[in-house]
Amino acid sequence: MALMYPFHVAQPPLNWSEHLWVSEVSPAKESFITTICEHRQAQWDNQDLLRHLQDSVAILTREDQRHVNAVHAAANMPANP
Amino acid sequence: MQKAAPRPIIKRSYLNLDAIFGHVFSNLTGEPVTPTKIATFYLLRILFQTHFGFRHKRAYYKPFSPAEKERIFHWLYALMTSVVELSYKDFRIVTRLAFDDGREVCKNFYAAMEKIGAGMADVTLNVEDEFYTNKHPKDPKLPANDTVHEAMDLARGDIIQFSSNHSFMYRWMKRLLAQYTKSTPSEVFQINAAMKSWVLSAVESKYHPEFKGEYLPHFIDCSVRARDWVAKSIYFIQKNPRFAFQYNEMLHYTRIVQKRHPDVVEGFLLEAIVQVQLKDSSSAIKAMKSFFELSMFELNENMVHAAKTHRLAVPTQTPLMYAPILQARICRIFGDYQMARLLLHESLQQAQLRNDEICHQMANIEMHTVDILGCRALLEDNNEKTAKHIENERRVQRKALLHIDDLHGHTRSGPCCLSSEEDFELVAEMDSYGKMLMLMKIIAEGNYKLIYDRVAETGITCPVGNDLGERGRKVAAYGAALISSNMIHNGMYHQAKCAAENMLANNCRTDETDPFQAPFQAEPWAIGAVNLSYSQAGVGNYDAALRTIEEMRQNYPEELSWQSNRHVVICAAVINFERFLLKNDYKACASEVLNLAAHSELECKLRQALLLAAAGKERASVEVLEGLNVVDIRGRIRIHMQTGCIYTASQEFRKAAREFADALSLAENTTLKDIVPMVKRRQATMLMCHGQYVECLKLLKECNEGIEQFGSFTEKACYYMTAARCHRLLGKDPRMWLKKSRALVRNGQWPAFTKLVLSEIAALHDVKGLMPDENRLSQICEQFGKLTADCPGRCEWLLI
Repeated sequence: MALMYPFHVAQPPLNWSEHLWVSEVSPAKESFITTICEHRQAQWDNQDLLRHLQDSVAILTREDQRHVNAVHAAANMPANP
Repeated sequence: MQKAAPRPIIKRSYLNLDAIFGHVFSNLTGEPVTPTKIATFYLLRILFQTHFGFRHKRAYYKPFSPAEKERIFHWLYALMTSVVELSYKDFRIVTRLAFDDGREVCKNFYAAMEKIGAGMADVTLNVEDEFYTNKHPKDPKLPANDTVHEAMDLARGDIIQFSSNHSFMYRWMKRLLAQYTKSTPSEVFQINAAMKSWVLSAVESKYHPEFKGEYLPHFIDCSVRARDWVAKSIYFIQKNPRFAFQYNEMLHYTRIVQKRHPDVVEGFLLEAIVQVQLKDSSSAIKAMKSFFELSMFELNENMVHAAKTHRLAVPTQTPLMYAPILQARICRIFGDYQMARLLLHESLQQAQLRNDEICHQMANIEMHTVDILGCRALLEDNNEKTAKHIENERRVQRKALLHIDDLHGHTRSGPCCLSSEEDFELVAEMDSYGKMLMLMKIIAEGNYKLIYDRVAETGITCPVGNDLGERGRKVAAYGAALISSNMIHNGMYHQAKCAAENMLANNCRTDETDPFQAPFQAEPWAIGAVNLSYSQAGVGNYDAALRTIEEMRQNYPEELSWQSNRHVVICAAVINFERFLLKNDYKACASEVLNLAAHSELECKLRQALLLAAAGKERASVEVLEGLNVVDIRGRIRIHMQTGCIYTASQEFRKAAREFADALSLAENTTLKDIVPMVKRRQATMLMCHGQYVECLKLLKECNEGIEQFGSFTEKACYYMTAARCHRLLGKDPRMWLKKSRALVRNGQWPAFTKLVLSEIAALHDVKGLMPDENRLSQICEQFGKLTADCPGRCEWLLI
């Protein structure tokens, strides 16, 4: 029988860009990335400035930090009456 | 006191993916540093200093009030979002118009610009810390513990924060700073030279340092906008290709994006999609492989880790799971089923190993699509019998979909479904398509039981409350297309017309100015229009069907959407064949049949056999039909019916009876509503031609209800003619059937059949007929002569 109509069918309209493999860069993520880039740039600049020193010398430990603070506090103390 | 020796620091070293791959993600943000943007940056900084002051010194003028700030930010946003480059003269005009309010903003801006133009200062894109903290530092001349600081803070308690960290202005500034910090010293020199030239000249600058002098359009001149453009293009290609760029333009811009922005890896995905639309499967596969190859490292989602290590790239397992699925989809669309099955097996194994429910379900949907539909536009039970996939992996939390009953008892579990709403929506969408694919399988086997009632219709047309990514609309449209196709499949033309009209009416445009509110022009909606055309032709309204086809040709052209356009081609060929056949235009029929050859062998050969029989070559026609090797149950029934009709027309009633008996035995095993009445009608017509009028009338009574309810226009015409002639030859009154026949063809769709009805009426009113009437007979002969002049040739209703 020729005068009958065929069964048209569509392919499932699956999305080509699901969130599983296409990640969206939201404004919050963009600000975070920019901040990370700035921090990294600052760290590189500091490392460039201190390139002639060893890491063990340039990086201050906690005890050294406390010592520097003590010296700074002593310098700000008024003179003895 | 003796100081202790410093403790050594052990630094852990591990792979730095950023350094290995050239810091691809560092390019993720950043605006091109152009003179207009530098001037806008200077203006922003001057406005901040006017509002806040400079370091520890308060501003001379009052801070901006909220109303003033609103106006200032309006102008700043306009400058930041401008797509054109301004000249220095135009920028001064804008500045004078916008910021000349007595606070010397313009004066300070001109001074800064003229310093750069005179070479007295370089471009310095930095911001004081106070821009972030909105707090004045202490006066360095005073001691730290002086009480004047508290007094100063109390005196200026009305200070207002300049801007929020979450505003677009803040992000724009950070983009510019990020781009500037990435510049090399030579680029900084070029920036200064360009800025100096911009101040001294009167035209806008074409300077784009990172693009080597090439001028790029605004929507892809930085990674942020390029990614947004790619996402919009992918969206519009899938929804309505008219709102996307032309495919050649998109390919051109995609290659620019791939070259200039290595972090926008979605450009390769867009290229793959465009190549699918251009029917270039090898290029699409290559682009898809490039996309997943570059997606091996994704952005670091762990912000704590990124803040500590400053590393933005981390490995990801996504390409291992989803790359085979998308490549298999491309292989399926272009008919490479073997490669598609191999890839999907790989993806299923990855999903089982990682216990990923979404990937497992998506791969199953693709696998069933390959098995049930393939890449064809028509649903037929194909010859390929594939082995069933038995999943015995105990790590899989849900088994693969093989039957419709597998959907019952499915519970969504696992962290991937509970973590985000989008995952849940995706799994629900996959479940819907899986269920509909199971329905298609049952429909193709001819065993689907129709349950169309108000509840089902309400469920299908129920509006989706929160339609993420328009998934609900796509699923509903896919279901509506399936339902209308099944209605046509069962001869329910009026119901199909209502369903298709509803589907197309819901696809309307709500906002003329918003392209995101555009109607869908995708394959399910094309099928809805096709089924509307079939329903109109099925009741004999060929003019409306032709108007629907013409509208479809405009909505779904070949160059925009070839997958939708093939449905239009098939529909036009089928309906035009029917129209030309009813007008005895066999040459036009032969040309229309050729359009069907690429899509369905069954549809093409059935119509070719009919044309051969109409030309008098019954033997060749039967040989064509016997040569068809069809597994589809409905197709086999149609072959038997067509062969029986040809035997009836050539007076071979014994062979015709055998063919109709075979068709009836096949049809009774199915749930198709229109097949059994049609077979019985043909049996009745054969019995009438054979002279067995009493048995013919008995069969006509049996299938009367079925023909009236599920018969098409031509089917009803043949039924009425058989009933009328049989009644006349038995000596009964045939006028009721003749009246029905004439009413059916009163629009002139079938002039040959009208002549047949007139000849029946003439036989009735002849001098030897049942009701002799000479005046009536002369009128009938006059009408017959008029019709013969327009449409010569006899009516081949026995072949239909």
